[in-house]
Amino acid sequence: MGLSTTLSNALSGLRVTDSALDVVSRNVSNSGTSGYHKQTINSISQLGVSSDFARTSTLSRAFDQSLQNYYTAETSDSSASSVTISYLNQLQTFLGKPGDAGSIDTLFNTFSGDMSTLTASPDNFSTRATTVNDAQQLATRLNQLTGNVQALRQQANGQIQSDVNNVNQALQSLVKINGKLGDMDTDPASRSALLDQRDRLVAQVASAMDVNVTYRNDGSVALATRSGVTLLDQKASTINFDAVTSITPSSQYSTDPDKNGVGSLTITTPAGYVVDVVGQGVLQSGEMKGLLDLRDKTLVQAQDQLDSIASSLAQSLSTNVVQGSDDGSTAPTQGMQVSTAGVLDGNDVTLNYTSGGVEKTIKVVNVADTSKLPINYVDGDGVQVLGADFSAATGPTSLAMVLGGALPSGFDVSVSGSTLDVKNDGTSGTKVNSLVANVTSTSEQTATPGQALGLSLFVDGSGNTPFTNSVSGNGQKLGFAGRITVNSNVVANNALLVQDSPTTPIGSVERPNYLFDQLNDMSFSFPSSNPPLGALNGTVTDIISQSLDYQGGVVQSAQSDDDTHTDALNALTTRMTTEYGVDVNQEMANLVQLQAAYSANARVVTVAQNLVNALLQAVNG
Amino acid sequence: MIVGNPLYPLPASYSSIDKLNQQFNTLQAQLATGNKAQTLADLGSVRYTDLTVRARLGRMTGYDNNISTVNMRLDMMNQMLSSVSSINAATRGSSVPASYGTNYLNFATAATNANSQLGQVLTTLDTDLNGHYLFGGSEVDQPPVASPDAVMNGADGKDGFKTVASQRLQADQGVNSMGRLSFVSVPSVSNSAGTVTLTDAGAPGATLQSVTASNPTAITIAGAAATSGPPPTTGQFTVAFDSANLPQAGDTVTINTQLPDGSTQAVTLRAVTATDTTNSSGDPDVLPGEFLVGADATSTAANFQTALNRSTSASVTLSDDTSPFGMKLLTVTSSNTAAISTSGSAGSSGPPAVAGQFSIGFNYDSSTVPPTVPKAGDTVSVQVAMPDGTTDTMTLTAVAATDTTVNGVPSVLPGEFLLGSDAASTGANFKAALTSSIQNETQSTLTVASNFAAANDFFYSAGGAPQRIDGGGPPADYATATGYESSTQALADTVQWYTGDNQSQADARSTVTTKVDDHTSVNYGVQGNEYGFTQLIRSLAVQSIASYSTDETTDPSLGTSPLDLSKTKYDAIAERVQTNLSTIQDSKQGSLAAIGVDLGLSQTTLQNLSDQHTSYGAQLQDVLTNSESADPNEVASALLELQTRLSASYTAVSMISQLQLANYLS
Repeated sequence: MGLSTTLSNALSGLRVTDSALDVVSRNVSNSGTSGYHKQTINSISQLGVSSDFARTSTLSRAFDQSLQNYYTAETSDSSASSVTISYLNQLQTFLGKPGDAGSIDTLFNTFSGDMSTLTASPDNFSTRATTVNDAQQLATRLNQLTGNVQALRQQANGQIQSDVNNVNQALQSLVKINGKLGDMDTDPASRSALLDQRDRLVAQVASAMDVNVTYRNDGSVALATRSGVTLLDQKASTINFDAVTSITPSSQYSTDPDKNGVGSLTITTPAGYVVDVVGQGVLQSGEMKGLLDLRDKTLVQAQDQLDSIASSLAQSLSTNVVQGSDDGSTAPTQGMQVSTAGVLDGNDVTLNYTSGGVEKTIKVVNVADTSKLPINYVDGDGVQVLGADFSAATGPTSLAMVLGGALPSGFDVSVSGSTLDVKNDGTSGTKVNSLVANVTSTSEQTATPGQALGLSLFVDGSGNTPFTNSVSGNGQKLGFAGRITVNSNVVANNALLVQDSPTTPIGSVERPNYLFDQLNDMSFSFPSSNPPLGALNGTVTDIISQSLDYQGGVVQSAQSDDDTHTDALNALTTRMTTEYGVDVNQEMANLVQLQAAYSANARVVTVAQNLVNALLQAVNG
Repeated sequence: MIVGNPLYPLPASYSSIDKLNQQFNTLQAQLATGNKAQTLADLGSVRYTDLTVRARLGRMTGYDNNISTVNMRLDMMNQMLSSVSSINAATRGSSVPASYGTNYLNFATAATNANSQLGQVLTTLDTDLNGHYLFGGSEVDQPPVASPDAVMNGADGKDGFKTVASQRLQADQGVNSMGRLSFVSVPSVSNSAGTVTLTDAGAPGATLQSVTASNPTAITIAGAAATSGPPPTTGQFTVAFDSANLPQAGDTVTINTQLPDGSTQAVTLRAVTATDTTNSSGDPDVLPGEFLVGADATSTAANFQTALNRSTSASVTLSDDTSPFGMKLLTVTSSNTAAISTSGSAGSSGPPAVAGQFSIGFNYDSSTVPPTVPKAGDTVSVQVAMPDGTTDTMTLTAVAATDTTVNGVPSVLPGEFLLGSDAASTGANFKAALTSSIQNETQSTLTVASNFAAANDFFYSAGGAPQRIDGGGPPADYATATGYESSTQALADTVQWYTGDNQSQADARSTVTTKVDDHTSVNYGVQGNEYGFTQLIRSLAVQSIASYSTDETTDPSLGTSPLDLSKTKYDAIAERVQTNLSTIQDSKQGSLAAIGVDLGLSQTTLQNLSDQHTSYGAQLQDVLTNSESADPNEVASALLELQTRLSASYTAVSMISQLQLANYLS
C-alpha cells in the first residue's frame, strides 16, 4: 500500500462519483421529459495491480419488457377506443338528443302532428303549407345527417392516411435506430437516449396499429402485427393507402378492387409480399382499426339506419294497399285474387294463409334484377320474404313458381295476365286469409276519387322518382336518406295532400286520414347491415326510436369501452412512472450521498497530498 | 402540466382531478339545463322510453290540436244552429191560419218578413270559421249556399226560385186553370135526314170503338174507329134509319167507346114505341137509355140523338192526366150512392203512367118507391192529391131550385150544384159547379201546393238534385208540360241554391270526420241541404213569394172574390208551414233538433277524450320528467360533495408538490 495507491483509489472514487453525478443530473433534468427512462449507474471495486479501485460498470436504463408489452398492447386498444368515441361523440352531436330542436324524432313528431292537423283542417292552406314545410325540414335533416355521417367517414379516411404516413415514418426511423443500436461501441448514455427514442417510436406505431414487439439482445426491435404480418425486421414494410377523394353512402369497402369505393390499404413487406389490410383482417386494434371500423361498419350502419328511416317514411305515405277479393271459388275450395298491375320493382304482394291451423305470412317482392334472386329469408316480423320477377310469366323466378313453391301442399297459385289467384283445395285447416298488393303511388292524382289514396310525398331525388325500395343495383335504399326530398309537385300545389283526384273536394279527409293512418300503422322490417345488432322493426316511429336508441347505445358502449381502456392505460402509466420515472427526491438523496462520497474522496486526496507534502518537506529537511 | 405526447399521459393524481373536473362540469350543465343527460348516450337505459314517450306525447299534442279545432267549429255550428232554430220557431209561431191581422195587415207583411228571414238563414248557412265553411259537408272551401238574391231572382243567366215557381204554377194549373183535370168529352152527335153521325171529340175524350145494332136491317151502321196514324184519322160512325123499315121496340144500338184511361164503356140505347111508353097521364115516357121510334126515319133519328145526349150528359167523367203536375184524383164519393153513383179509379204514376178517372152518374128512377132521385143536401166529394203531396177535398152539395131562389133567380153558391128536373140537366149543372170549384181550387190551395212543390224541386234536399219543368218549345208551354228536364239541363239553367257536399241524409254527418285519437274519430259534417234546413227554407221561400189581394169583388164565373181566394191561400200556407216546421219533425233524421243532438254527442266525445289526454299526457310528462330531468336538490348536493373532494384533492396535490427534498437542501 502506498500513497499513490491511495491517491489513485481516491481518484477512481472521484471519477465514479463524477459519472454518477452525471447520471443524477441527467435524471433530474429529464424528470419531466416524456419517454425518458431513469438511468442508474453501478460502481464496482476492481482489484488493480496494487490497488482495489472503484470504477463504473454498466449504465443501466430502467426497462421492464413485460410491462412494456402490456403498455404497447394497451396503447393500441386505448387509441382505438379513443378515436372511436371521438368520432361517435361527433355523431351523437349531429343526431341530437330526443326532444332537441333538430333531432329526427322531434322533426318527425312535428310532421306527424301536422298530418294529424291536416285531418282536421284539410282545407286550410296554412295547415297544408306547414305540413309540406315540415316534411321538407325532415327530408333536409336526413340529407344533412347523411352528409354528416359521410363527412365522418371521409374524415376517418383522411386520418387513416395520416396514420399511415406516421407509421411509415416511424418504421423508417426505427430501421435507423436498429442500425445504431447494433453498433455496440456507442456511448452508453447516447445508447439510452436511442432506446428511449426506440420506445417512443414503437409506442407511436402501436397507437396507430396493433404490434407485437420482439426485443433483440442488442436492443433493436422487430415489429409485426398481432396477426403476424411483418412490419419491421431488418427492413421496414411499407403501408400504402390510396385514399379516395370523396366518400358517398355507396362508397363501401369491397375485396373486389373494382367495387372498392373507399381506397385500398395494403402492407408491402420487405419481401415484396402485399397484404390487403382490410380484406384480410390484418388489424385487430389501434387507431387505424378504430377508424376502419368506423368507416366500414359503425358509420355505414348509422347510414343504413338513416336510410331505413327515410325508406319507411317514404313508403308509409306512398303505398297504396290493394286489398284482394274473393275469387268466387265454390266451397269447399276457397281463394282470393289480387291485381298485380302497377306492382313496381321493389313492391310486394303479401299473402296470409292458414295451413294446418297455423297462420303464416309470405311476402313476395318484385325483383326486376334477377341477378339478386333467389331471395328467401324470414324478417323481424316472422314474415317469410321471397323474391320473384313479376314480369316473368313462367320459369323458376316467376311469381307463380316462387309463391307456389313456398306454399305447403293444399294451395294452388295461378297467375293469369296481371291477376294473382291463390286457392286452397278445401282441406280442413287450410284457408287463404288475405292477399294484398302493396303498390307505390306513381302519380299524385287519379281521375276518379278514392282510387289511390297513397301519395309519394317523399321521393328519391329531384326527378320525383318514387321510392319503392327496389333491390336492383346497389339497392334503392342505399343512401336514400341523402337523396330523399319532398315531391316538387306537392310543394308547388299543396292541395295534393288532400285531393287524390281533381274532383275531390278540398275539405275531404279521405286522403289525409289514409296518410295519417299509414304513417302510424304501416309496419316495416329492415334487416341489419351488421347482424345481429341493429335490425329495425315496426312503424315509422318505432324505426326512428330504435335507430336513435341503437346509435345512442353504440356511443354509450364505445364510451364505456374507452373509459375502461383509459383506466387500464392509466394504471399502466402509473406503474411505468414508478418503474421508469425519475424520483427527484431519490435523486436528491443520491446527490447528497454522492456529494458526501465526493468530499470524502476529495478529503482522501487532500490527506494524501498533505502526507506527500509532509514527506517531501521531511526529505528536503 | 402540459405534456405533448399523449402516450405519456398525466400522472394518475392529475388525471383523476381532471375526471373530477369533468364531473363538476357535467353537474353544472345538469343544473343549468335541468336535464340529466346532455347527449344521446348519456340517456342510457331510459333512451328508448324517452323516445317512445315523446312520440306518444307528440301524437297526443296533434290530437289535442284537432280536438280544440273541432271544438271551436262545433261551438260555432251550435250557435248558428240555434239562431236558425229560433227563426224556425218564430216562423212556426207566426203561421196561424185565419190570423190575417187587422185590415189584413199580415197579407202585406208576411212576404217581406219571410224574405228577410230567408236571407238570414241562407247567410247563416254560409258561415265560415277561418275560411272553413261549416255547412257544406266536406266542401269546406267555398260558401255552400248561393246568395239570397241569386236564389230568389236568379243569377248569371240561370233562373231563380221565382221563375221556377211560376213555371211550376203554370204546369200545375194547366190549361183553363183546371189544375190538369178535365172532363172526359163524349163523341159529338149530329143528325141529318134520318142519319145520326157520331164523331170523336178529340183528346182527352172517349174514342169510338164500334157501334153495333141488334137489328141491322132496320138500323144501318157504317164507319170506322180512329187510327193512331200517321196520319191519324178521327173515328166516325153513322147510324141510319129507314122510313120503310123502322126499328122494332126492343131493338138496341150499342156504342162502345174507349175512355182515355183505356177502359171501355158501352152505351146501349133501346128502341121503344110510343104505345109502350105512355105513362099514367098518357104522355110518352121515355126512360133514360131508351129512344122513341118516330113516324119516320127523320124523327126517329132526332129521338135517337136526344136519347143519346141524355144518356151521355147524365154522367160526368172527370179525368186527370199522366203528367206529374196538377191535381191527381184520389177518390170520388157520393153521400147518396143510389141516386148519385160514382165509379172509377185513381191513376198511378207508372211507368206507364195511368190517368185517374172517375165518373159521377145521376140516376132518376121513378119506378122505385120512394123514387130514386138526388135530393137537396146530397154531397159529392172529390178528393185530390196536390202537387206537394197534400190532399184536398172539393165537396159539392146539391141544392134544389126552390131553396136557393134569390129574387126569383136561383142563386147557387160556390160548392153547390142545382138539381135539375132530370139526370141530364142535373149532370150539366153539376159539371158547371165542379168546374168553378176546380178553378177556385187552382187559384188558391193548388197555387200554394204548387209553390211548395216548386220549393221541393228547387231547394233539393240531401242527396237530391234540382228539378225543372220541361216546357217544350220554344216557345215553352208549361201549361201542357208533361215532365221534367234532364238533370244536366236543369243544372245548366237553374241556380243551384246549395253547392256543398251533397250526400244522402244518412251520410251527412260523416262528410266531415276528424281523427281525435288513435282509434276515435268524430263525425260532425253538416250539409246546408239537410232536412231541417230545407224544410225551413222552403217554407220561407213560399211565404216570400206569396201575394195576397184584399179585393172583395166577386168574380161571377167563380162565385168567389180575390179576397176569399187569398184567405184560403193564407190558411193553406199557414197549415203547411206549421206541419213542415212542427216539433213532430224533430224526430226525423236531419231535423234541426237531430243535428243539434248529433253535434252535442260529438262534443261530449271530444270532451271525454280531451280529459283523457290531459290526464294521460300528465302521466307521460311525469315519466319523461323522471327519466330526463335532473333534480336540482340532488345535483346541488352532488356538486357540493364534489366541490369538497375537488378542493381536498387540490390541497393534497399542492401539498405533495411542496414536499420536494430539494426544498430542504441548503
